[in-house]
Amino acid sequence: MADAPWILVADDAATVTLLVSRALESAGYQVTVVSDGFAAFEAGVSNDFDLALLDHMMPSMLGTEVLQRWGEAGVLFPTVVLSGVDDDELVIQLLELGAVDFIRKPFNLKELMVRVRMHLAAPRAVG
Amino acid sequence: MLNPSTLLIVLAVLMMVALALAIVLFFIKLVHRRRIRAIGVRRAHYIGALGELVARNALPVSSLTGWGDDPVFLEVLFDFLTIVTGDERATLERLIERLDLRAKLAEDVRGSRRLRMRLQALGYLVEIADETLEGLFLGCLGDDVVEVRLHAARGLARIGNPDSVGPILDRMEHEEHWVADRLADVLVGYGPAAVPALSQYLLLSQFDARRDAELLRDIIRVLGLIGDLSAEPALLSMVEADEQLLRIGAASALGSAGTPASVPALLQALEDPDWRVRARAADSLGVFSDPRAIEPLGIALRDRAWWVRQDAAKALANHLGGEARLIEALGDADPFARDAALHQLGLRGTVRDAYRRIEAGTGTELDQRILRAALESEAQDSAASELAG
Repeated sequence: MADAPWILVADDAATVTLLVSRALESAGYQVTVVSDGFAAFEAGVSNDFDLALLDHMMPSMLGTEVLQRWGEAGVLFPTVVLSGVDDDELVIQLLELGAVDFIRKPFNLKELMVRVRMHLAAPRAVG
Repeated sequence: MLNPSTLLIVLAVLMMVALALAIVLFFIKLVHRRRIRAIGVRRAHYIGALGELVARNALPVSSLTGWGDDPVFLEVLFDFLTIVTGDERATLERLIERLDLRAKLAEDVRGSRRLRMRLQALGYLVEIADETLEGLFLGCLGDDVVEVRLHAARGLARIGNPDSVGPILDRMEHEEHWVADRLADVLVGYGPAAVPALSQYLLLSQFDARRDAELLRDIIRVLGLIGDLSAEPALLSMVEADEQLLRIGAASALGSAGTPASVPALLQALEDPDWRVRARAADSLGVFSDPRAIEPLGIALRDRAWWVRQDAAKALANHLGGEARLIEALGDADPFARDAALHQLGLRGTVRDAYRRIEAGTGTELDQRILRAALESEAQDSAASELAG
């Protein structure tokens, strides 16, 4: 378990965090859950996660701001944005800010797990 | 003047009243807190239980009695429905069947006197709409409350039976414009299934002297948004309508729901007395890349309306073979035509490419012309700025 990839799940919707964290834990990953943008930022700068699943519309800090601040703080783990926003411009902005993928809600849990595996297997950026 | 003993009595009574009020408030607050906490506990319980069901893709064998009657459960269930698809959604659908939620919520819509409850139930039903609810939604289209009517239309669009487009159109005829606009937005949700009924409505409207131009404009807009080519004949019938609103809408919608067969009508619209029709027609002509449109669009670069000139230039820029006509317009006697053409050539990178070729010593006479036009335009702009300054 200690060697299992460690994933940050940041979303203010308890339904999402429960569903996703449960699925990730069942697949053998370690999971840390936070429910607002500031907590996500803090967790990201103080821990070396292997991957983050980040919502965009969160209290205290939006996903775009979290990504921007992570970028400034030199955070290197890949981030997948998981959001219900239906705005192509915003998706482009999130990807430009460093997100490696965007999954639109409602999502298919199996597809989410495949993408998580894919991004964990990809070579990681070096700072 | 009150004597001291009376004053004391009054003060004592006031203090007792204040104390009684404080006690009552304390208990109200206590009950409220307990209620909120109980809701939080139930919510957490349902989130856990539903998360488990969804993750396992299985329903519990134990009884689910009472779940469907709890508004907290419904809230959590519909939260889950908005975040999952595929097998997980199918599991939740099976749970909805097991709890007979459609019938229960339909009963709330029909029987409840509280508007908030009816709207909530109707909102949930829209999310899980299926053909068994079509009768309910059709009935609600005639409800006294606007929000109920709008929810009902959304439910019908979600079911997607084209037979229900007619009743929504009938409803739109009796609504205020803002409501009709919202119902039109809902019609887009039907997709191509709505096109036959909407097209027929437009075609028949030609013989109706009492037709409502705003309503027809909404329908034209919907056909444009759906973008199904089978709407083309109905839209073409509107390009020559007497009302400008309809001509504007049709010229615009043909850009997404038209084929090259629309080009002659759009070319005619390019000469419409209303500049908005001409601008929309120019924009739509840019979609088809039809060679018949190049010269008329070139002429439209000299239009007296700024928007038409810009849209014509944009259409030529998008047009296969339109760039040559834009370059030709750089030598136009009309400075407005030259400006519109140059602006689009600048956006396309044509001016930059010409400059690079000249700089590299491989520039042609055409490149020289493009660059000269760009420099002249810039010089004119600077002169104009200086004059203005």
